[in-house]
Amino acid sequence: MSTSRRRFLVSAAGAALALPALHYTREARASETPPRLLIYFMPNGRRPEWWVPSSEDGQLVFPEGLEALQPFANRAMSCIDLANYAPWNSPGAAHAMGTATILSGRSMVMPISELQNSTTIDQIIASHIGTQSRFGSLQWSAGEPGACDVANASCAYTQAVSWADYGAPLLPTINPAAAFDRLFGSSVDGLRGVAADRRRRSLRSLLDATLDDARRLERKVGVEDRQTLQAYFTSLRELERSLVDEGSCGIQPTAPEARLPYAERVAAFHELIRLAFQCDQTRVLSFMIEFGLSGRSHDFLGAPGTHHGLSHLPDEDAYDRLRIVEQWQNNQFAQLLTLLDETPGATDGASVLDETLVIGISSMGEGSQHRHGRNCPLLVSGSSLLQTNGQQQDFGATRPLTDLWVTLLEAYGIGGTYGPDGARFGEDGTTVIDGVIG
Amino acid sequence: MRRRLVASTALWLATSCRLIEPYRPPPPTEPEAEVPPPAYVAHNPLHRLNAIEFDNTVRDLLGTTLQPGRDFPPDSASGGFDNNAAALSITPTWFAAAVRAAEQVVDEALWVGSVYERAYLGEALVTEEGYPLGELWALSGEPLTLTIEVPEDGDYELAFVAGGVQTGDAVAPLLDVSIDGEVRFGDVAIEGTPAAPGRHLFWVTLTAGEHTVTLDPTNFQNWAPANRHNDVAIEEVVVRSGQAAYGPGYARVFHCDPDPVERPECATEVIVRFAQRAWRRPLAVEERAALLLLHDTVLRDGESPVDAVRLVIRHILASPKFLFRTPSLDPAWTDFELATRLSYFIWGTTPDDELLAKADAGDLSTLQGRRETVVAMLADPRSRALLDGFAEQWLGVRAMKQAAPSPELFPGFTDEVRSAMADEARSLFGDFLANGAPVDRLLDPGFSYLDDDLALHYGLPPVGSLDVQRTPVARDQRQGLLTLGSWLVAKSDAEHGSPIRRGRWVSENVLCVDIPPPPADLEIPEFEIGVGELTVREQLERHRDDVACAACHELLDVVGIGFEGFDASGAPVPGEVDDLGELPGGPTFEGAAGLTDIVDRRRFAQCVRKKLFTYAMGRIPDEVDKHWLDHAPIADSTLPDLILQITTSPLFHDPPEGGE
Repeated sequence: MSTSRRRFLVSAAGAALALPALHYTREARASETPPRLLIYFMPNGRRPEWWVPSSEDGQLVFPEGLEALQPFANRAMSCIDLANYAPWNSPGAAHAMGTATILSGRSMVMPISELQNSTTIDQIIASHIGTQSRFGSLQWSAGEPGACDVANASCAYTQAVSWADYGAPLLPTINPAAAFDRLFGSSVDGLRGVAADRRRRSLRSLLDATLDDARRLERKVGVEDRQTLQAYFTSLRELERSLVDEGSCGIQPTAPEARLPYAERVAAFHELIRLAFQCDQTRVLSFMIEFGLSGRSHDFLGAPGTHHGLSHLPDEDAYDRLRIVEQWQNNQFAQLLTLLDETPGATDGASVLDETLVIGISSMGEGSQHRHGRNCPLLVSGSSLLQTNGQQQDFGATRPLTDLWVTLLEAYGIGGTYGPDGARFGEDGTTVIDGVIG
Repeated sequence: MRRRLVASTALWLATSCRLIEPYRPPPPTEPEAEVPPPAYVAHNPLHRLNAIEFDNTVRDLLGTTLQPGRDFPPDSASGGFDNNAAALSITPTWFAAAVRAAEQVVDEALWVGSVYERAYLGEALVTEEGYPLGELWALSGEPLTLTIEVPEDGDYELAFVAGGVQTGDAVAPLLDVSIDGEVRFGDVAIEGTPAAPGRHLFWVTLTAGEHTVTLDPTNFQNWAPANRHNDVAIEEVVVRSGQAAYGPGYARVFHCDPDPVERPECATEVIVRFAQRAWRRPLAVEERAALLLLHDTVLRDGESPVDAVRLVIRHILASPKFLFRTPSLDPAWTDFELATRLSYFIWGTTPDDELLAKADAGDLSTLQGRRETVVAMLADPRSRALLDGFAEQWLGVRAMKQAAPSPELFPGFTDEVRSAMADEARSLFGDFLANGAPVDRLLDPGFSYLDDDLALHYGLPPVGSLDVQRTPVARDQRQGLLTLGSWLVAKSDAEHGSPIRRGRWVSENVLCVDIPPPPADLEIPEFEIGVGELTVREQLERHRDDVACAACHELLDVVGIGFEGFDASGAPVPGEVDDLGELPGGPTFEGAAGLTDIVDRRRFAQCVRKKLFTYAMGRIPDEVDKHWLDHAPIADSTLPDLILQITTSPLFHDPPEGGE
């Protein structure tokens, strides 16, 4: 009974938040603070036929099975075949190298068991726009550790897309309850982990029982005592809120439960991303739906076999299963966009998506050939930072991916040089891409 | 009837000091007239525990040594006492503090653990080849070696919390557990995952001193192209003695082992017994059911048997039925409500099992039973709570502890003196709980409580003791309530005693003449005692030139001047002092001794009774209360007599059978 009451509260809050976002005028954007940045990482490459939209009459059309992205077509920019040269220049040129370098553009040398790499683009942006919020940046993943890549590569290379500095991977939090705890609470009764999750549930039962108990008392006392009890009820409600609410900006977030199955864990992280942005806990976040080289078997989708194994297309059957896996992940990206678009932002009439730049990106292009030269990130935002207006640019597998990050630096108004030998960012990022900055 | 009385109370409050009955000499004979029974039974509202009561109560329920109430938002006093029901509201901050306090005291008092426990986590788990995975450390095939140290020979639980990683067709990870280089548990299968690690327990016998513990993965695999991978991610390693230790309240709460398998009825017994103690009455059927339902819920959600009971206890302590003394919700519980009121009045804490049993047996409903109970309660050491709760507030002790006499002018007012002054007042009152003397002898008991520091401060010969002790004094020596350092210091300014505030204290606490506040639109002129060319008396007289002020200040100032012989640190002022005081209506007196000589003893005793009543009931007496207070027989009453009169009066509770 207590659980259902809570679910009701949460869904009622959700309903209130899901008001249709009014159209956010360009005038309103003029004075806006720079948009938040969300990197949404997907492992084992992306086959373009399920991910990359076509462009028809200046309008992006998403492939069959990804219709959920269509509502964002006029707020998106599609990049085709940007080249990430760093993994090619690194030993192995495989998943570890792709995953670790898409945001850094820096190659590695042997021994790659040692941590190398350099500050990633999201961290440079965080150092400029993340200083106002509670957390400069956050890194989360619904993934679980699996095999670490060839040549005894450090596991961190597949497990972190965000790097603070040379040799400093920002390994993501993989337990949504822990991420929630960091955002909205601390340990519960001095307990951590699973025990804290259990205790949190117990304390909710306790508060519900206390409320019922006080109500029974209320029915038995006179008018004056009922007034006294009103103050008790108010206090109880405030306590209830404070138990879940630390910087939750007045909404009532519910902590994710422990031991969520994978798909629910992804959904829980989506909800946390929404909350973290809505309550301005952070302005820069990277999320990995799974780690690079993910060996997850998506049995719950009817697509058994490790994702990585399927991505190398050993047989016909594998292609169909890979489609199911990649389409599901791509649709998760769409679901998160929908969630952010339904959530009111800081500015009147704007949604969180209107104030955020979301970049969906994989470790490489098509995965069976490790096509690092054909990465196809999708940029979505309702802000005017970039010309996310339904345009598509094909870079022919020759333009470095790092130029996109140079463009981002420029758009965010961040000066300085971050690469070696005069490169503005990474090893080869030198030039702003035309027609992208808003 | 009730409504009319309320109206007349309001009218009375609105009147000026001119209507206050002037002081009159006592009539030749005491009108020990019969008291008309009150026309209503007083409504006793929800009455929140104050900080002291909360601390005492959790101490008695759980045996905790913590005093969390000290950190609560302060209770505001009303009518001179901080246990006034009308002033004790619940605020979110207070409630949050109380709920947190419940967690702390349950944690401390009902703690169960080992006599020795040590956890190794974080940095302690770092190895060369492994890598961090959130809070965990992934071994990646490399053994983890820890040096542990145990205090004595014995059986120890060695536990490691770890999750296994398994991808593709890799085998499930296994590891060997070695102690001092010898494999003790081979090929242990890892339970759980890094997101939900499992606990792996082993019992080992260890000698005192250092040992090495090694966790060595035996079948690590990492073949990326084939997605064949396994690993062990360690969260912590714990070494714990097999010898259990318990918090101070464990034995009294858990009278049986709450293991649901061994003794399923135990948890129920523990919970019901505790709730009856905490809520100070039997449980209604649905209350009992709700508690047991909550217990089942948290137990089902995976709490341990002991934790499940501890959580229910926290709920019981957060309930309004604990935080508030409640009116009788069921006619059958009337005597329990009475036991509760007696207990918080005399003991400042929750009724014990014996008192609740008396309530259950109906002993408190008879006059004789109630009398015997109160007498027994007064004889119990817990009645010292009257000193903490009642005497400290009545005699200005708490205010004196906070007072700040000028250190330049009064270097003799040391911490020792301050502390002795508190003891002086408490001990004087405490003496009258047992000495059998009429309560009015508080004014001239023939003894005082002094230690060497306080004697020196008062300009008296040393008494040869570092703690205050009962010291016989001659009739003209400093003695009695009117010379107590506590209220004299509390009612002083930094550099000078305050005749106005001292006059008010005497009016309100000795004579029980309440002084209304100054009129709302009054402009108060600058007024500094003891400064300038005018004497204190001249200054005060100017003060009374203003007609608007005079009505009340006639009652205050002239009384207060009688205490000009005591400085702001409570010490005697050397030399000639103008301390000719005056009571309203004419009689004059010199100094505290002079007032002691002329004060109406009966009126003073009535005033003590009224103060006690205010404290006992947690309310300012209304007109019906006052009628009883002014007319009930008082002659030669001792302090325990007054307490008996109050607790057997129909105002305290339903009249006992065979009552007066």
